[in-house]
Amino acid sequence: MLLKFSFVLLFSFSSAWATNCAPKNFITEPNSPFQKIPVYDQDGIGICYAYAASQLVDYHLIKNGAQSRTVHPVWAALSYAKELEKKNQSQTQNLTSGNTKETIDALVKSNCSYDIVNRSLGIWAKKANVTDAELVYFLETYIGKYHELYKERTSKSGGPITERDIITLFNKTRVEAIQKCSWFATWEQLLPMLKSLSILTAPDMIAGLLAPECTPTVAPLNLPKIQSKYLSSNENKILGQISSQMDKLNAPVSISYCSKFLSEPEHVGIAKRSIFKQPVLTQECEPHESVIAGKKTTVNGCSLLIRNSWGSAFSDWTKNKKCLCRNKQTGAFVDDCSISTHNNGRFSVEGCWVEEEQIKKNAYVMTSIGN
Amino acid sequence: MTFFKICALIICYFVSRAAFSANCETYTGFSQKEKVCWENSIKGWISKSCLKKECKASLFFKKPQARPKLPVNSGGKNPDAMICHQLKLPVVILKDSKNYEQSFCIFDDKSVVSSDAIGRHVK
Repeated sequence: MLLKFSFVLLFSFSSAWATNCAPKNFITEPNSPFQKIPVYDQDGIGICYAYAASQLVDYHLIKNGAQSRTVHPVWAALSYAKELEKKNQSQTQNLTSGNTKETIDALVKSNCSYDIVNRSLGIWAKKANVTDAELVYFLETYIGKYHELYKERTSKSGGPITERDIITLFNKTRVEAIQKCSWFATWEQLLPMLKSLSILTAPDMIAGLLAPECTPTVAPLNLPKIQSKYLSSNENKILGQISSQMDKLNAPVSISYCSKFLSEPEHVGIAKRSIFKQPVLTQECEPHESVIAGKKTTVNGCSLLIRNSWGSAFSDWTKNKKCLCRNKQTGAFVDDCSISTHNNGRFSVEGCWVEEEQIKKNAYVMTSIGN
Repeated sequence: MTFFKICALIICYFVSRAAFSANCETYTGFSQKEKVCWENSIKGWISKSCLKKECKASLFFKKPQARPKLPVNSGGKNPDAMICHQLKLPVVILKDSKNYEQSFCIFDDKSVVSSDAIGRHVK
């Protein structure tokens, strides 16, 4: 009898500590919405939160009947920045670093279709007779100069920015662009549009330039409640928390984490967790946000499948990791592929598995769509 | 006998063609198209034109390159793309036939190479 009692006690304790990590893979499941959401590459733009937000929203919409992806990550970042400005929280219009939940909230108010944003970029590149990179370079330079002038005028009460100012800025940018970009560029084709934008801030300007078609017609997104919370102060509960949320929603989630561990496995990004306060990050933490598209139990505990926004190739972060690959010709998935065996041009990297210990030491927020 | 010889020659011809045909794809941006091929020596995608004659992108891999010091990565920027930016190489995002994105670094002569290959080469 005592033996039986001890056994039951032991069993209940061990099951309480073990993380429920029933395998789930939202990428390989039949008719997965991820088949219509590509792996993104965010280049040198720090809008990881917008890439995660757009994937969560698109996953939800496609799962509920949408035929294709809807949200352009750049538009998501702009919507977020515009909402911040409305609340007067952001004087800098710096898109780097943001909040995934608030980005989704902003998208609900003002979405613009992926195709319109993409087409607008193409139209402007063709008008200016430049490549995509040249157009982005020009706009970044122009908007940077515009922003400096805006700050100068507002801090010194120097009056509003006039059409003449815009022409001066435009010409300065053009001089710089001539050194970097094609000699055949016809930048002046962009000037009427830049002049006509009733703009005060950089996000407004980009939004107006990219997608004027979206401004008058706001198509609201119909989404359930967006949840975002700090992960448990007890790091042993973190994997269980993420895993049970994925099970409950039957959908991917996104996490905020210190990304250095992707290339330095021993990296610790969380200095301190506490029950009532947000976690303290180490100075070395480089905050990032990605979608978690699956989970499974391995010898090292519960592993999570990170769908990153750093392109579809085997880059530095995939080194020494088991990944999920897709055969470019057949579309077949190969689990546990690696850089040493599959980096031959025939496979795309869908995501890579990261270990429980690394998540415990580096993840701090989880965001999801649904109740 | 002659028939078998001809068959063998035809098979040899196709096998040799398959062996030497490059794995090439057309990647697209929002306005541009770029023909790139897989280059096994750099384990990355490079402009198709670089397979026929030397280009700046292929020359980059001919000698060791120093890894530039990267600024603190805020907002989850792609580290490989950041290396290109630090090397003063413009970056363009191109998509494969399935719309999967990949950043490419652009050289002066407009030849391109996938940023992951650059990231691995710099040390």
